Order: sequence, then structure tokens, then C-alpha cells
Amino acid sequence: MNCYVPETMEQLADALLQAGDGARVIAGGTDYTIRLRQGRSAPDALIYPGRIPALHEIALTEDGLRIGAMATMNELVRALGPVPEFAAIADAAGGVGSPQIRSKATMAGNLCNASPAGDMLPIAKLYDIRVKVLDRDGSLHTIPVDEFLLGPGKTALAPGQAVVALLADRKGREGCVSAFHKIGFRSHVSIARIGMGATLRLDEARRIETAVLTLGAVANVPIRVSDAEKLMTGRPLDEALFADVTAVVSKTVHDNCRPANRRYKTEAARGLCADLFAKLEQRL
Amino acid sequence: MKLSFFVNDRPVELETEPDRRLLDLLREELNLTGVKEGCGEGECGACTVLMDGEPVHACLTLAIQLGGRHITTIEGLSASGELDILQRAFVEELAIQCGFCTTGMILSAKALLMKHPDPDEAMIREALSGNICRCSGYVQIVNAVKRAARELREVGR
Repeated sequence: MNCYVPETMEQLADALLQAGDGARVIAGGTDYTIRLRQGRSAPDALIYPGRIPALHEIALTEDGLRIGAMATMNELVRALGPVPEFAAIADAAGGVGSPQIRSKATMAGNLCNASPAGDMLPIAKLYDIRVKVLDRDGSLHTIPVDEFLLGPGKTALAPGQAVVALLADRKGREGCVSAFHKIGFRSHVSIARIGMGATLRLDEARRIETAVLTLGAVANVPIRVSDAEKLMTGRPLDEALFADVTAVVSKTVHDNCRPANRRYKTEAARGLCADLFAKLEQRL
Repeated sequence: MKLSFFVNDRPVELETEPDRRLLDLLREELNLTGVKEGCGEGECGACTVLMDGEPVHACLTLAIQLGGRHITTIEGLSASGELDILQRAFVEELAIQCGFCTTGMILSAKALLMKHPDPDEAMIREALSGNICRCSGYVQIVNAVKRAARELREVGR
């Protein structure tokens, strides 16, 4: 098997060109190694971009957030836990797998793997992430997350392309708090049975000015709960609001879930709302 | 591929396939059999080693990812011929039964103590959450990590 370990973006483009359509790009490898071992993937060549320093950067500026494709879950926890508007990313990254997984696994890899249960999928939707892609001709372009995630294991990434960064706007999120919570089979090292992310901003009168809510591990791709967002706007964060949001989230889960999981997840959505709102309230 | 990396602070050069697992390189090429294969899919933590000081699964780490990296295995903790404080604490607290999970447990604990010399029990349990022991109820293991932390702090003073 051929292998390429580029050290610059130019070398990465060159590797994508030389390696051909049968090559695979590997980041943390925590999911891909298992697929490889099970014979579910048989690449002609492997490309590992982990020695390109720029791809490890998490850059937070006034305008936006740029997460390098090789930034690990642990690095996301450390960098974004203290940043209220992006703390949901740290919540989700901190709950992925075990410490061993979080030492290597990346958000970009989680999106490329595109498991419907992937914790970073509802997060990507929560922040309208744009996926920055390098093509083997050396050009760069961005793909909105809704066009990137196409279904279980399916993305818009074509052969000869590699994700190099994930981009999110900071403008418009000033003063927001955010959180992510998931329900799994156990408290640690758990695959989400259902997960939800939220960003929220209150105005001076403590009424909700803007809210975004997304659900993961319900349908094939993450879902934005626009109906709940609309009913939240302009209202105080009280018990009546919580009851209304919970009802809408639960119905959204019911309407989008596979029949086999519907009863459980519809009910679990209620507890998930309680946990998520408790986290948000602590951060307001 | 030609691979150059470091194992227990020694430079290693190998000719290998890019999709060869670190677990197999350590056990079969370097004869470091302290690292164990449990599940082979990143669930049990028996194959935990340190990569640049962070705990990773040797079963989910491929040769292509290793260039220039520093790997620490259980053998690296007693390179001088004496057991590390953590290893001794595991013995003294009877935190070993069959022993299969032990090397991974100790390396996860090592990664924790290098960053946080004074962890509380929640931090210890979080650090060990990716290591499964099917003999014990984890009580002695947690006690061993507490003891090692205490002893390391005393040595540091």
C-alpha cells in the first residue's frame, strides 16, 4: 500500500493528485482503523495530513472560529470550553468516546465518517459550519454543512479531496451561551442515542432574543428544531417556555425517528430537554 | 514505508506497512509485550499507551500516524529496573487480579498524574473511564492512583 505523509498544504494537494481515486485520507483513525480491519474499506493508498502544522490550529478571532482538520477532541475541549458561544462544541467533544479516543479523534473526521450518531454532526448544524475542502488541483472551496452531510456514511467529499478546516461565524453570536447534551447507554464512553445542542441569547429584559436548537442521532442527518426556536423568541426562560419547547422537541423527534426507536426517543427527548436547559441556565 | 519514531525515549527505525497497527509493531517487532490486545476496537483500553504524553489505543493507531511521535509503554516506566511509583502503588493496593487491564490502567493514570498531580476521585474515574477491568469493582484501582498521587507529591516536595 502506498502512503503519503505531507508536511505542507501544497504537498497534501500533490498527494491527493498522485494517490488517485482509491486513496483514503486518515485523521485520528479511531473509526477508520476499525473499518479497515473489518475489510469494509480497502484503499490503494493512505494519506495522513497530521504533520501539517496549520491543520492542528484552533483559531478564534473576532469574526469567526476556524478548527483545523487535525485538531483533536481534547484540544477542542481546552480551547472552547471557556468560550460561552462555542462551549457546546467543547461539551460534545468532551463526551466523545474515552480519553484515549479524544486524544486522537477529530471533529472533521467525525463529520467525514458521517455516522448519524456522531456527536459533532448536530454541533456542525448548530453553528452552520462551513467545511473547507482542498482539491487535488490545489484549489480550496467551502461546503455548507447541510450540503456536506448527505446521509449515513455519505458526504459531499469527492475522491481527490480532503477536509482542511471547519469554519463558523462569530458575528451574530455575541453574548450567546451554548450547550450540548446527549443521552447514551451509560455516563462515560457512550454512543449517543439522542443528542441536542443549543445556542441562546437573552436581551436586557432577560427575554430570549435568539435561539438555535439542533438534534442528533434522530434522523440520518442532524435536524434543526425551527418551530421551537420561533416559539422561544421574545419570551422569558421560565417553566411555561420549557414545557412548550419540550413538547415541540419531543414531537420533532417522534416525527423524524425510525419507528423502531420512536417510543423510546420521543420520551427520552423530554429528559434531554431538561438536562440541556439546566446546563444553559447555569451558563446564563 | 520507512518509519522513524521514538519508543520509551529510544529512536526506532522500521520498514513496515502504513496500515500496520502500533499494537503489532510494539508486540511483534519490538518485543514489548506489556501492551495487551483486548477488544481490538478501542472499547476496552487494554492496549493503552502514551503518544506524546496522551493516552491512545495502540490498536487504533496506524504506522502512518507515528512518524516523529514519542510512544511510552509500560516497559518505559521501569526503564531503570525499578518499578514506577504508580506500578508499586498498584501492587501495594492489590489493584491487580488477572493483570490484563493493568498496563493500560497504569498508563491512563500516568497521563492523568503528569497533568494533574492532585486529582480528586471524579478526575481519576474520568481518566480511567476508557479502561475496562472485568475482575474488580475498580475500588482498589482508584485507591492505587490516589496513593501514587500522594506519594508523587511527597517525592516532589
